[in-house]
Amino acid sequence: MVEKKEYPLGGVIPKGGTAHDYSTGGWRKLRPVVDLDKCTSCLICWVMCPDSAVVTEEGKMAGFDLEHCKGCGICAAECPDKVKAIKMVEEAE
Amino acid sequence: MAITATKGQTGLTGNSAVAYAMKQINPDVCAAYPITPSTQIVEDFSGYVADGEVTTELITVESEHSAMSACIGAAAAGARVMTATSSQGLALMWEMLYIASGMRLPIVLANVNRALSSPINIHCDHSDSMGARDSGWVQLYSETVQEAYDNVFMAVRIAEHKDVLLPAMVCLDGFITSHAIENISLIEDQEVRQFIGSYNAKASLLDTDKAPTFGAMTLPDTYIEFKRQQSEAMTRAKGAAIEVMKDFGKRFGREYGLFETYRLEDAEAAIVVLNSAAGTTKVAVDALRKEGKKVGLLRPRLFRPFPWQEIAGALKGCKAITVLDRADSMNAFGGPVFSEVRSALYDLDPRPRVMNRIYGLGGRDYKVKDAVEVFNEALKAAETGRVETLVKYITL
Amino acid sequence: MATLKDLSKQQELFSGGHRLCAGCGIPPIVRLVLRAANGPVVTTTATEYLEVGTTIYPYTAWRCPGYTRPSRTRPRP
Ligand code: SF4
Ligand code: SF4
Repeated sequence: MVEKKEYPLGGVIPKGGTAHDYSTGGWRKLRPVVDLDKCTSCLICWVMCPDSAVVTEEGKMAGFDLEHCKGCGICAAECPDKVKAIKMVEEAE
Repeated sequence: MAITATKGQTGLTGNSAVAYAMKQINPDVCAAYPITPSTQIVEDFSGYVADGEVTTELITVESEHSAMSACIGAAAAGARVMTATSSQGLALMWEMLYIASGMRLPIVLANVNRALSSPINIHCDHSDSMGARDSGWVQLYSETVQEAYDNVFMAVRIAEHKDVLLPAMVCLDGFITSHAIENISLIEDQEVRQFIGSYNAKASLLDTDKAPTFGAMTLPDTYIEFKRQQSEAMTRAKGAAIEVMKDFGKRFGREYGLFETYRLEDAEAAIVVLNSAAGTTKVAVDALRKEGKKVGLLRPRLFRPFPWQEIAGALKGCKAITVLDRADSMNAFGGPVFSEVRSALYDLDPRPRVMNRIYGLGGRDYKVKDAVEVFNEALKAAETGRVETLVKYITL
Repeated sequence: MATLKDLSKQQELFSGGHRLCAGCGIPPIVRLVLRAANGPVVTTTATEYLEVGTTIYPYTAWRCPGYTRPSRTRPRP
């Protein structure tokens, strides 16, 4: 139970980006797996991800933020046909 | 209207006086849409803006819903914000009134009381502000032009008080007060500035470093806590109002309280009534007192929060009380002021008889003879201990 | 014109951890809009699922200040 005095005035969330601390990884049934050897770092998957869960480093595709990835498979579908570097695998496997 | 003198007496209508008070306050933002009978407030104030007499950003909008929305946006950004409206205008703001109070934004609104449609009517009654009585706004009522003018400053202080941070509404009677010219004392600009001070919002929508989110979604695990927080602020608003009114009296010599009483001390029968009708009632009190009848008046000034203990304390000596309502709750059980006053008196022992008379809807005149009739009926109830008719319409 | 490579080096103003459905089409649009804005951004949006799903107290996905307004404040055609 949160103490009463901790509630900010008027329902304002005083600081931005706090949803980052909320994990949605457990929503996932399928997990994206990237083959970085095939990947051309076109970053289309990064643009299209609804959960800001494609991680980039120095302008290059670097994997997934599995705390937040919901396993929708959009990245896999959007990866260009000629590349198809992302596979969706059963989370249970 | 050009007002030059700020010392001594100046003849002003209620609307001009409110607009002049707004000019002296010089709010950061005013978003408004004119509506009868409060039109002149916005009209005068836009003149002050056009003439460069204020630095206010005046936002002319397409509806009252938009007016209150713009007020909320500006207040969330940390601005001191004011607006004015009446009747249908307030009704159209309804949804946003709750958001202003829930977001704890100390917006000040002048509401010139006017009947709600239908049937359409542009004259005074209190159905507009009474309908908004549970919207979480502090409500101050004003009998005269002077009081309306003074209330505007007090409303700013109460709304922005650190223990409160709630929006506040100043109510005055449409046409009766808004359009009547009265000689009033104006406060000097500098004294106004000293009295209201500056406003520093707790959070600002323009704070890109902290990046706060306003108007967030709350689920069943937090909503009730925010409502309790708001309710506690409203409870504290009474103390803040007392403090602000005291300071006002000290600085400017005009004493105000949570309510006004008139010859109430030894009264056996009393009328409780808001706003301008109190003036008429006082004339009736004097006339009946001359005949040796013990009658008096209580006029609530602060209606939200409702100072029920104090009102019960002031009325405890009365045997019969008639509450006059210029609005009907349409609950087949009288008007809103009646319900609350009667409830406030429930714990008194002995418990006075309490009746309700609905009067003056849609601007119907309330005359001295009406007040006398009400008093005579109340005196009879005081004597017999019996109420013949609990609720009825008068001034028909 | 900025390339995706350049854009990916900017701060992400829309975080993960929001409660919109898996595969929702709105976040990619919002993320692009936020990237297109140069300089400090303040958002204001009328209530619908985007706001409801991204500002569940005390979690906000927005790294810029924002105000969720009631639906009726949305411009009407
Ligand atoms: S599966 Fe969906 S949520 Fe996960 S990284 Fe791919 S696009 Fe993003
Ligand atoms: S869309 Fe495919 S090729 Fe492009 S960055 Fe993503 S994984 Fe690499």
